[in-house]
Parts: sequence; C-alpha cells; structure tokens
Amino acid sequence: MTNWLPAASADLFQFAVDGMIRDHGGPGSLGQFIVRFEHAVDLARLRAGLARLARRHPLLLATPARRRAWPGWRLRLGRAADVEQTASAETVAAQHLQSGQTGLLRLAIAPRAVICTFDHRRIDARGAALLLAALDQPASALDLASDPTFRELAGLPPGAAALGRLARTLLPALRPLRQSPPWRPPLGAAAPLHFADQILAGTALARVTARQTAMVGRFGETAFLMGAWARVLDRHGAAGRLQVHALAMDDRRPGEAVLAANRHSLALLGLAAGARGELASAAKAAAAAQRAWLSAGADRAMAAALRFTPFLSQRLVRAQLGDFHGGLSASTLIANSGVMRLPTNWLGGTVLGIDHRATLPHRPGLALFTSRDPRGWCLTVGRAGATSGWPSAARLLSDLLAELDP
Amino acid sequence: MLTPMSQDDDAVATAVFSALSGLLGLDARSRANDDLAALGLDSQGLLRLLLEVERALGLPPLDLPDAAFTSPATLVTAIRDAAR
Repeated sequence: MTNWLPAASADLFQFAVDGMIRDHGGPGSLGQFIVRFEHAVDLARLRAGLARLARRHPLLLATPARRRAWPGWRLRLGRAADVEQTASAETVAAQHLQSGQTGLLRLAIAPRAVICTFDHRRIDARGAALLLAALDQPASALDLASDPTFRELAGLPPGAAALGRLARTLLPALRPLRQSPPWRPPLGAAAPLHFADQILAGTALARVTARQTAMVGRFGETAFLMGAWARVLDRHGAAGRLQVHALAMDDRRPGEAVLAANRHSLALLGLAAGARGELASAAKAAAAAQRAWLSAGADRAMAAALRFTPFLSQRLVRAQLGDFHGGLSASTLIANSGVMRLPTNWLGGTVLGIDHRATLPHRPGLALFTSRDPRGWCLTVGRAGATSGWPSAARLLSDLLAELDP
Repeated sequence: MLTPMSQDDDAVATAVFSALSGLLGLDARSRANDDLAALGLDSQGLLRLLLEVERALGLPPLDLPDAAFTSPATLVTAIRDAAR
C-alpha cells in the first residue's frame, strides 16, 4: 500500500484557498463543529470510535504534504489517534481554529461538548457530520473517498480542450459582476477570527419564517437571508455599491455517504445597489441571481475553469475570493449547511445541536454561516482581521436579526 | 387550489418525478404525497429541480405559488397547470 495520495484536480481549489489563508497569517482552511450535548459524553466510547475508524481509514491520520510540488496527503501508518480533554469548549475551539492542524481531524471533549476541527481541504460540513456519526457506529460502511473522481463535479467533459471550451463560457456569467468594483469589507488579515452566534426558535422563528414565505416562498431561506445580510452591509459602508456574495453550493446528493471529500463549489451572486431598497426586493434579487448562475451553467463552467488552477498560478481562485483588485471580488462568503443530521443519541448523550466555525481568507474576511438543528435556525457571523473601527461580528449579527425580525 | 395527482401519467409527471428522484436519491413517484422538505429538498435543490424540469419540457421560467411546493404531487399539478 502506497503511503502517498496525490490531490485530485478537484482538490486543487481547496489547496489554493488554504494557501491564501496561510499567506495572510491564518492557520489554513479549517472547519469546525462544536457538538452540544444535554449531559456529559462518554469519553471512552469516543476514543474507541476514533481508534476503530482510524484503523479502517488510515487517511484520517494522513498529513498534507507535497511531492515534486504537487500537493497531496501522506499516510502515517501506525500513528495513534487521540482525543484532547478540556474544561472549556469555547477556549479549545478557538485555539484549534487559530493553530495549524496536521491531521484531517482533531477531536477534543469538554463536559457537555465535542469539538471536531477538520481540514476543510478534504472534508466539508456534510462529510464532517457523517464522520462524527461513524465514530459511534461500529458497523458503519461509510467511504472515505479514496476515489478522486468522486470529488469532481459530475458531467464535466474529459480532456483539456473540452474543459477549456466549457471554462470560457464562464466569462459571460461573470461579466455583469465586473462592471463596477464590488464593495468589500475593510478587513486586512486572516486572523484573528471572531464569531457571533444566535439561534432563532419558537415564536421568533415562526415570525421570520412567515416573512420569508411571504417574500420569497417556503424554499427561499437562502435568498431571504442573503437579502437581509446585504441590507445590513449597506448600513456599514456598502450602500450604493455592487455586492458580490460567494455562496457555497453543495454538490452532494442526499444519501451520499462519503466522508473525506469537500464537495463545495461557489456561486458568485451579484446584488445591485438598486435592488436592496426593501428586504423583499433584495431577497428576490438574491433568488434571481442564484437562478441565473445555475441556468447559465456557471457552476459547471467554474468547475471546469478551476481544473486549470495549477496552470493559472492560482489567480482565478484568488480572484474569485477577492484577492486581486483588478479581478473579481467577493464581498462576503455565505454558507447554508441546511439540516444537520446527527443521531439524537450519540456517544451516550443527547445531541442538542451543532455550532459551526470555519477559517476565512483575509479577503473578503467576512462570512455568514447558517444551518438548522433541533435547537432551531442557527446563524453565525464570522469576521477576520484586527481592523478597528468597523463593526464586530456581534454587532453585524445583531443588525441581521433586526432585519430578519424587526 | 391544488389537487393531488391522479394515477395517469404524462410528460410533466415523468419530468418532475425523474428530476426529483435524481436529485433526492429516492423514488419520488412512490412518495408522491410526502412533504418535499421532509424528502430532503432545500432551496438549492429546488432551483436545480425547476431548471431541469423547464429544460426537459421546454418551459419558460416557472413562477409557481408556494402551495405548489408541498409534495411531489402538488408540484406536478402546479407545473401541469402552468404549462397549459
């Protein structure tokens, strides 16, 4: 068995994002779950589950490396997996998200929480949830995605020439976003990171859901949230400017049980200043932008373009996230992980819900994460950079809640 | 008022059930009266579904009432009405 697993072309975008974050003082591309429990968790059961999973899937303990400049993963056979114990979930969660990580997975246990920090180059939120579930399922047959083709967007043509032709179709989709420089938050470093969380539940959630349904329909959650978020940013310097939101698109199908694969793509959605006067119009503009992106086939064109990442000196990747003034720039990142599915009873405890975290590129340095779990609708604002004089994550979240539920 | 679909098959039903089955990884026809959200549909999935159905049936962008998005059956009925 070889101990070297080269990155597939589908992974190169993730490696480029990781490099961007490191270049600007961050720890690389990491995601994190803080799983909250009603009572204490069985540490021995967690340790046994991790050891069992690592024996079956050595990739879990692999470390990122390069071989002749090509990135990949070096399997470290015989390396032991461990779980850190801590008294404070918040403290260790912040520490793990600020320090570089050598393995795919890092686990810590607190009195009523499990902190799972994962390498986002190789694991996305859905994969992390599957992985956590597998820790407590001895007979789990989940796959760790040794097949790199899984991580390619389905339906891409083979061969560089056909891919190149498809990649060129991206330009018409991007043109409307390049007519004026988009607004970007005045943040200057990838670290430190600050997060603010709020869970909407009960009557407050019912009011917000009713407003959303009236404006953009039952399945308009992401558009409604984007519209509200855009209006919050208008209050803090974005008014009158184009906003471009990089929305994470989940390319997984329900039932896909592959753990170690990041199946995100990004849709670049422009919201013109004139569309943001009212929340309803902003939300409708967000829905229209998402539809336009997909109907133009820009998701496939972007995936094709990103296959050329090594030959573009990562310029496209960085431009997509706003790293070049002359290129395309995102104003914020937005990720909706949907319903988080963990067993209600996990590791002998009752799961209350999952808080989400992720590191951010210094540009845009601002993100909105959302998901649903048994607690309700979870909203998290992430803000990078030490710049003073611009609103904190807590202030931005407070403004967002006021916009959603005035 | 949308009515649940009957047993008769048509192009709209075939397109919707086929798209839904592919998207959600299940047999949508056998779960025609289940709640769409409970079946796993979300906002991104809905957009992909509508685009696929519009393409398959050669329809312009669909603007459906919210009641259409209750179950696979109500979706078929609403698209059938919109396509007339």
